[in-house]
Amino acid sequence: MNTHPSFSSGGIELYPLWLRIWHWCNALSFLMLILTGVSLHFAGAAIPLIPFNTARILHNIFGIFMTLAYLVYALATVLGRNGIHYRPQWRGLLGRLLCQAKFYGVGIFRDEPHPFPSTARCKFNPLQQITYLGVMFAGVPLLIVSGLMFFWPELAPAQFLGMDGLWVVAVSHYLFGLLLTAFMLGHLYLATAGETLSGEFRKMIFGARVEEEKQ
Amino acid sequence: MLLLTGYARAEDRACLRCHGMKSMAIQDPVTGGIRSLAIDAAAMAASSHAKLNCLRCHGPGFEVYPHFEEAKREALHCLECHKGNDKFPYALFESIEKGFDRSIHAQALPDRFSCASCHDPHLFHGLSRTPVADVPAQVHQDNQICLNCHRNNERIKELTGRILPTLKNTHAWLPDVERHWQAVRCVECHTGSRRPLDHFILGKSFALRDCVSCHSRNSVLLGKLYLYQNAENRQKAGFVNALVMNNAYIIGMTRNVWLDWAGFALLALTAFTLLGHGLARWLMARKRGH
Repeated sequence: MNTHPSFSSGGIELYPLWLRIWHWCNALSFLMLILTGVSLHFAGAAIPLIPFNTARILHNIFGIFMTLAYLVYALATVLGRNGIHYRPQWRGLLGRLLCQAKFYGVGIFRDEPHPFPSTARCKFNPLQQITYLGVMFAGVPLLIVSGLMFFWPELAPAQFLGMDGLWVVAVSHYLFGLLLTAFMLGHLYLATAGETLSGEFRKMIFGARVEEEKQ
Repeated sequence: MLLLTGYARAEDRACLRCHGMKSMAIQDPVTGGIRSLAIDAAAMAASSHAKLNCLRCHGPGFEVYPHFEEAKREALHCLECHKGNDKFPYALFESIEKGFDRSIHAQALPDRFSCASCHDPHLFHGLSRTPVADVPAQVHQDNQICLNCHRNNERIKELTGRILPTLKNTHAWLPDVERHWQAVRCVECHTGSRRPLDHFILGKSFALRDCVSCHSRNSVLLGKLYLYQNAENRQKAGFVNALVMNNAYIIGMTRNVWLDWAGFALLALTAFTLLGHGLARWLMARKRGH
């Protein structure tokens, strides 16, 4: 089963147009949210990144934009074909995760073939699948919900474990943002670790079709 | 009557016999309006002046009834007690007096503005020792002092002879204005210095309009609204508690140094790991002759 990025109409498109548009919208929003978020968090620093009031407006705009984009993504993924890539086969998962980790730790340096190439059933390798599942269906929603709560701070609990409720929401938002920023760094780097250095980037721009698996 | 004066000490009961009645009022000889002379004994007992009896501030002319006319015309002399008083920080009220004299209120209405114009001595509760949980109540009390006049155009017209633009219009630049008014006091922006309890009240032309003055680690709020929630309390809490201890969230101000360092370490570790991995891939590819 070969993955061959192409414009041909045969086979199944792993990265349909809507997904590619969402991906780059999400990437732009996330980048802007990092820049504006850092500017707000470190407001008053010796070298300000973006002025506070500009950063506030941009953070709100891109926060709402990312939320709407996420809703489209989540609906299309849950209701459409894209969702099958996020359904792990639990049996033998640990072994496959270790195998993929071993590839990143050893095999990649020896130019060994990828142990789990993209297929119509699953375009992700096991590590990607579990990570993306956590990121897209836990990390991002939590980041969004904790961020949206700042539009309605009265909805935040008054107290949480003896601390001010809004403070807990704010720190959670900060921590989710931080973890997802670390994820984004890894995501960007591993995009260079496909079959070729730029192959994964090209797939997310031009799409990639694979032949349907025969039963 | 016992109910009305239940909070009062014995020497004040005679005063509260009349002033404890909610309906106690006179017609103001200057304005012709009704002026309440009622004292809420319960509120007085919770105020900063709870320990003072009536005659401590209201001079000898009030010892008898009917009160002396001269005494009624005399203004309160707050600074007689407050200046040079060891109970307050050194020279605090000297500084307050200087600030007040330069304030827009004293400049615009030199003969009609005094301490009691803002601080009702029978109700006023100072900021000191206000726990963080009570800050919203403190903000409400202090802002109400300003709003008593500034949301009452009749009162403003009576004092200044003109109508001022609505507060919503003059504060249109401030995002989420109602929430700001619930969370911070007017004086945070309408006093120019970082001095605590500054009384140099500024008009709109000179008031702060810079978000970062509050929303930063060096926030003016730490020297004003949160003056008494200082770092000392946090130091007492110890290392582990300091990691999580925070009682109110203000963007840019309530940054936790430990969390910031942990975040920086996480991102730096991720970046170094990825760079190292990438470098090793490149070196191995070069070795293989790619």
